[in-house]
Amino acid sequence: MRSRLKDTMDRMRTLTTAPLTVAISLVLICALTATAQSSSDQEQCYLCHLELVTDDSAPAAHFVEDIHFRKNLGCVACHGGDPESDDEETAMSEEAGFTGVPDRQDIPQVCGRCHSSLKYMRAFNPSMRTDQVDEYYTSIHGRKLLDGDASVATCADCHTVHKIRPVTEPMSSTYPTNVPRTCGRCHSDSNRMAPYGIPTDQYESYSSSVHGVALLEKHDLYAPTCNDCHGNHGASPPGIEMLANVCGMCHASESEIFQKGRKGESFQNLEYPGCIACHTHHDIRPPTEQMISFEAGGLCAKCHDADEIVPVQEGRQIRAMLDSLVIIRERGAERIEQAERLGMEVSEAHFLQRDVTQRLFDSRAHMHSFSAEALQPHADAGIAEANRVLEMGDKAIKAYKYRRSGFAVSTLLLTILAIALYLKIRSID
Amino acid sequence: MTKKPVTKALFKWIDDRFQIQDLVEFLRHKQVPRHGKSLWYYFGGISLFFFLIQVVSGILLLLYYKPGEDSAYEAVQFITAEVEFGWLVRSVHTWAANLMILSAFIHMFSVLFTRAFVKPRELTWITGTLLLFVGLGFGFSGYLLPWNELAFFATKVGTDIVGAIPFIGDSALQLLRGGEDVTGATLSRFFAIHVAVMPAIFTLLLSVHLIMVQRQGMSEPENWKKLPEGDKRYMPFFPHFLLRDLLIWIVALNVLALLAILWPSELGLKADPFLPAPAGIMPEWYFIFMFQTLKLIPAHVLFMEGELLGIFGFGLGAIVWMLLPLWIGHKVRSSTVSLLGILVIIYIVGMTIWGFLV
Repeated sequence: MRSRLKDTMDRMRTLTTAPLTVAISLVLICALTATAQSSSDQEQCYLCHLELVTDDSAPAAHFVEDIHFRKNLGCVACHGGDPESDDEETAMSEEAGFTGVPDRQDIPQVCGRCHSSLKYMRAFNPSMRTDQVDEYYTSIHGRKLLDGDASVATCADCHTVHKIRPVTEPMSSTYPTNVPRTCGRCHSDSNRMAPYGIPTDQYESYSSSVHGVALLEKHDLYAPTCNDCHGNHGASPPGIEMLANVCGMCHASESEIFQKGRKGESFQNLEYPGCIACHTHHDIRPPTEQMISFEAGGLCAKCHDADEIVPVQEGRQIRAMLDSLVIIRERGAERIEQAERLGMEVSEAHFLQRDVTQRLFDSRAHMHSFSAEALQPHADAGIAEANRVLEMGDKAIKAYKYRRSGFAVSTLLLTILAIALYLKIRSID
Repeated sequence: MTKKPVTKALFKWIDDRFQIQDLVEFLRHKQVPRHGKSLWYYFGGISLFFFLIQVVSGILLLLYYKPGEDSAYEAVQFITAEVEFGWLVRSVHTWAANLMILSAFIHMFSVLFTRAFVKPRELTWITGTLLLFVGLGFGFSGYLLPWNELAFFATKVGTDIVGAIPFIGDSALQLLRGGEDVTGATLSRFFAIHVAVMPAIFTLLLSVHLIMVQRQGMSEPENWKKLPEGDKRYMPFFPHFLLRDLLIWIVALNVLALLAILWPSELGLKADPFLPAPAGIMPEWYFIFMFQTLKLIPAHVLFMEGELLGIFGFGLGAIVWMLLPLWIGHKVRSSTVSLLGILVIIYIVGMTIWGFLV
């Protein structure tokens, strides 16, 4: 192995005009061959193909990074052939079982040869699922592929071809923060999407949404990425009947309250989309109280006319309760911050303020009942606690002023006493 | 001084039983030398005043403080936020501790510079230095009691140093911490040491120290002693000196109130043993010169570990300092003693500033 590698290295040295990618590949080879024990079947294919590396797209260019290479699964696992032979004709002959580049139609089956076998996969990762191919054929991509449309996404489009990494690795194309871009490679391509008549602004919308900002800018891996709503191998646009369930996977309280509330059933009967009716889908903005309004910027007017008395009154009551909670909570926060700046101990108030925030989340969740009556106990509890925080802040500021004046009085008295003593000392001296 | 009949009767009643007339006569005739360096006499009294404040404020804190991993921080938080004037008592306790150490240091160096430690006051000096060491122990044990992040890690570092002592280090560390690590058991021990063991030792030493001071009277500076008897000025201890003492105590109380109100003690975050030590862990200011020295000593010096060498150095230094009157008598020149004092002050102040800056 070492002598073969040395030969290869010597041959490589003669390539005086080798591009930068070759140099990088060499470094990677040296590093990986020093640490990873390659199995025999990846030796010759890989070593010969390495000489053909001229740009990033060459199969051997990145194969050292591939999980299969790292698990000692060489080219033969997918392409067949004789990995022992250094003769191109022999190694890549039909007799040796060489299958070449699989057709796009066949890619799921090629991957599924190993990935659908529980027995085989258990040797590498006992917890790994083996139903990806079955699931894939239920997806919009899989169904279209079965219908003969070879331009839809297959395994290699998302997972790459020779640079496949486990989803847990941040450089993987399927790592949560990379998924939007991976999907966007096709879904943002207007030429590619033209035949299907679907929009191509999802990536743009998502990346500026509350979820996109959380995931892509704040690197919060709990934020949903494309596959969390659409599924991964079984990717499909969620239907209207599934929407509340999809959002409810994370927003459980809101979803449950909405479905049990007065709008849940009517939305279902009218076949209105649930959550996205107000929140949209890819372009979801941080929700605010201003959304509950019949005025400009509000969402209620999307469905209701401003002269509908009952919805307007209900909406105004809901808005007023939430606004009160938000305003008193903010005032409380300002007050305890002010007290803290004055050096007062307000940790108890901070602790209670966390409860108020929780009450606000709770009230916002109960707003999805679209009933002022249902929201009232939750909002009232929050307002009562927020008022307590405000009182604690006020008390701390008052105490600060009291301390100052108390100090001034005590200093004055002590100074008078000191002067009196001084005079006494002078008189007896 | 004429006594009213009731007072006279009460005095007689006590005197019949305890013969206090002698003590009254002693105080009535006790004289204090009057000279340019008289100011330094008051620092012992200031230290005593701050100690008394410590006792009173400490007892008040004890009414609410609950030692324990799950209760100490919460109790201090309760004292600071909920108890009426609790913040003031805690702040006064913290500031008075610092001022007591500061005035004790000033008192000690003033005694050194005025050569008041030599014969016949050797034992007064020794008990005085022991009082300072116990005072430092008070500071170290009290620092952990709020069970906040800073105190926890500073105590961890401080007790680690004890573990470096050869032969007995491990056992001493176990004894002090109540286990391998700083835990609730350490807190219980430090609490017991802070509120029971140290006050007992301190009170005993303080009583001996004060009895010696009263018995031997104020020391007289060398130059003053050489003056002709007619040129020497005195003032009666009672009431002249005592009133001056009282005046200075009022000024000290005012300074203490100013510090306690304008810069009240912070509590910080609760100690979490599972979190890494935060940046800027530092002991109390009066330990910084030792802390900084230990940081500067190389890991190995000849055949010894650097830390061990530092501990030996400070241990030996403390003993030498405590037994100073046995090495330095009347024959050693004043300038030599002054030079020694100045060098020690430069070292302590320099290292403390360095420790704060880095």
